[in-house]
Amino acid sequence: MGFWRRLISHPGAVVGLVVILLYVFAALLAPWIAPYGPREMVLADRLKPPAFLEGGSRSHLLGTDQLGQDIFSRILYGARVSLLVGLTSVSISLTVGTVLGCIAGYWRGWVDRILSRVADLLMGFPYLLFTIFAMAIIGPGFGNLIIALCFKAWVEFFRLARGEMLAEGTKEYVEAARALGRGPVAIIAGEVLPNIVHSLLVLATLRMGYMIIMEASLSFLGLGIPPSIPAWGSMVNAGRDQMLNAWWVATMPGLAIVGLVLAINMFGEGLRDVLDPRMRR
Amino acid sequence: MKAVRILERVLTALPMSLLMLLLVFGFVRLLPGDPVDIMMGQSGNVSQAEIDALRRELHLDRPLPEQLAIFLRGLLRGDLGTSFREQRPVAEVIGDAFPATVELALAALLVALLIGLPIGVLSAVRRNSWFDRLAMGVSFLGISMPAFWLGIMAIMLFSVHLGWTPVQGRLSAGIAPPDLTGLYVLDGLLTRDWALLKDALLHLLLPAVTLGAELTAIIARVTRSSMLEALQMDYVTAARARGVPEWQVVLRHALRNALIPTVTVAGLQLGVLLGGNMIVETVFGWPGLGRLVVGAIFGRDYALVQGAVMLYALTFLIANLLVDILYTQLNPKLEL
Amino acid sequence: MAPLLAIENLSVEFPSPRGPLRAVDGVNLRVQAGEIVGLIGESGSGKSTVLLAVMGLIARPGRILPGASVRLKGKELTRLSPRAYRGVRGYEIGMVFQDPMTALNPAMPIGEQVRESLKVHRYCRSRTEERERVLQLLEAVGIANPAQRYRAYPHEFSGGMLQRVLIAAALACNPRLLLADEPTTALDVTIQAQILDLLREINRTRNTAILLVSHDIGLAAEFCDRIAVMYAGRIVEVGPAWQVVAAPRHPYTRGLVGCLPVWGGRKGRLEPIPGSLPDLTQLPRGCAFADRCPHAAAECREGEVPLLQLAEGREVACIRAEEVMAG
Repeated sequence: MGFWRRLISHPGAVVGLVVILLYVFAALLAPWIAPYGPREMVLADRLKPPAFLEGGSRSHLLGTDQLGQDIFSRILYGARVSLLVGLTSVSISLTVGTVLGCIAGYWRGWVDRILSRVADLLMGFPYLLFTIFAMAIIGPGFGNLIIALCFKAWVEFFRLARGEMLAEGTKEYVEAARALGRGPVAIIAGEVLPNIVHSLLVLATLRMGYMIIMEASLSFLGLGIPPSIPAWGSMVNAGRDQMLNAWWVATMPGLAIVGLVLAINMFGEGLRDVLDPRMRR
Repeated sequence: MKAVRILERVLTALPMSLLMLLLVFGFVRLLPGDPVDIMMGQSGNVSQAEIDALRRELHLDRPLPEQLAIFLRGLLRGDLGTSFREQRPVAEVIGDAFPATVELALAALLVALLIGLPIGVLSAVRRNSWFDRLAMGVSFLGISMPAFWLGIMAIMLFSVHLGWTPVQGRLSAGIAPPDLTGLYVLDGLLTRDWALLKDALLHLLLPAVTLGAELTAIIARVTRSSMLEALQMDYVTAARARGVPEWQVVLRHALRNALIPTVTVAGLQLGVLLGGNMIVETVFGWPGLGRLVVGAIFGRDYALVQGAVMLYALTFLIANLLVDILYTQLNPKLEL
Repeated sequence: MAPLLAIENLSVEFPSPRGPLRAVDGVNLRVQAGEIVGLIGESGSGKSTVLLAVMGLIARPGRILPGASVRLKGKELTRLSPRAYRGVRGYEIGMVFQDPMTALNPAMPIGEQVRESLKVHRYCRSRTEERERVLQLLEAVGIANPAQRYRAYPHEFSGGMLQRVLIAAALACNPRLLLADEPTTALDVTIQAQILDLLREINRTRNTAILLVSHDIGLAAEFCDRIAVMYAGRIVEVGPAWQVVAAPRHPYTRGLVGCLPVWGGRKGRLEPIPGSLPDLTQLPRGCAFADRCPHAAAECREGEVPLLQLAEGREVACIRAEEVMAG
């Protein structure tokens, strides 16, 4: 398939994908490659600097925090949270948004009007505010966090799917399929969807980085993941108190975030570059 | 004609705001935990009578529709209830905090425009040059960085280790703000109080840059791509064929048209600016609405959450409206 | 008499993935003051590129090959500094573009766009004078109610009106030469005639020379004094308009004319020219038309085919022209 070949030759996409895979492996294999447990405290080693600084040692590659927890290990475990949350929330938003968007774009009429109004209303709130609010209402927890993140995120996919659906709906192949007596579900899923799935995927990839940042922000504020599970955002928050004497506590988890999001964005851009010229034609 | 359309737009925004108010009202009531219990629980031993009295005072003993009516009446009077945590009227609390948020948001917007636009234009004009590649690389980084981390890094570098800027807050201790607009930098300018101006600016610098970083990157990228498109247009060649100097071609012809998509995208990002406020305000200890909301939600201060979130949503609505208006001014083909 | 515009040995090259693409190859052309010359060719023949080269608007990475000469009133344009060239554009040479819908800035009132060259070249002494002149120009090109229309935006006009505006803008500083790149192609047939009439009037009243580029040889026959036919970047035939069309000497020109439908005239089918343009990155050594020419002989592909003078003002780039004429 020409698509794969083009993707491989896009440097940004390749680098991004490789890094993403690195993170995924790190997350999956965390229990085996992490030198310490996620909440293992070695009180004697509190606030040790990273290995490449004076005073650091190999046993704590990226240093420790004020509770003696190994930062490197916690970053590995934190990868699981971020990746899981990011992937799940994007997938759910994508699915929900696409389904609703296709429905709205295909049937139009009052269904479309209602859904669009709801979408507009939701868009009327800033994302973070909304999510914080939602989290405060439904309470902390993994599942709740994902729900809260999806609550508003589906709107973007909805709009895209709806827009594409409206555009495709007037095209001849849809008419032809209808003339053949195919049902609406078959038409949407079988005929139209394959044509618009490209733009949806590109959007999904590009939004995933955003979701991960959102999750990190929520953890930073203390909402979201229960504190027992290490998350990059809360790690950075913990580092706030150590700004003067142990800068690595806040910096390292942040770098992890930046690395992952950067890689995802690069991959997403590469995906778009490869798919876009084809899409526009 | 345009004025009528604008008015029309404003009026349609009103029912939307009302709907939002209702939503906020409802959602606040959904926050788990009995507020009275929480509040009372913080003060130690309290008698049942006092609990009942508080409940009556907060109208929590009345049915929901009546609570709504009371609230709306109060709204028209300007009375939004009392904040339990601050023991002050909510209107006052958010009135104090609002200018801080406005100042920060405006400063961030200014930073984003002043830095993002020229970079975008230059990158497009000098396409594929080292400048272009560097600029696009940095802006790519900019959209991949979480604001809270960037803020903390900035504080660590500039405030803690270099000591150039203060660590927290809007003003240093000992500097009294005048009671003018609430925007300290502006106040400093207006009253020619240079000490105030300098202090306020130093405090504003890092938070504004942090908040504006992502928007700057977005503006730079969008401006670049829309400029590239505009520069390919026939009317650009036609202008050159008339002997128009290149800088005029770039600014008067290309940029004029390229601004339209830029404004659109930047406008869509307003939500990010207002939402990101909360994070940046928390990191920098900026006494604005965002930080207030976060604290109020945590502390289950109902009245405060209500008032603050509503103000937030309303500001968002108005900002979007302004962007819409600006957009139609720029694009002569459109009517509102 | 010295020509107003003298193009000599003009070649323009653009880099492409498959090698340098020669859009214009060794073109020689002369335009006398007050003359209307048509540059005819199909898409890809390089005719628009010639205009851009005269204007100095060949965008990087394209370039005019050294050895070319473009002289306006004796002044060598190819050696001008960018600043000096800007002084020429819009002031001594005006240009009208193909699609008026895209050639005008949609975000700027049309009056302002017409005024632009006046401002840039400091043609008038004051802003009021500039505005006055713009109104005069708009009226001269046939825009009714110019004072009201000054502030109007391009999307409020029809294609024909916009083309008039473009012409007004090109004529603002009363240039001696007007370059017109297919000015009527994007317009309806009836409007086409109006625009051509307008251009003819301008030529007559202001003695402005016009170099018109078109793919329509019939149009050129009616409108131009002289015609130059281009093929694959080279000039293949030059001569007085009616002559070239009534008695074409080059096989390509003959083919072009043969493509014209004729009222009540010839019976039989329209004869299109078989084949298509050669690959401009690999121009053949000999005649570029050889592969499509019904009269091609071995000698045609051997070496460069120069423009031969058949008679006064009549040139053909075909070594078999005389033979074919006779046969």
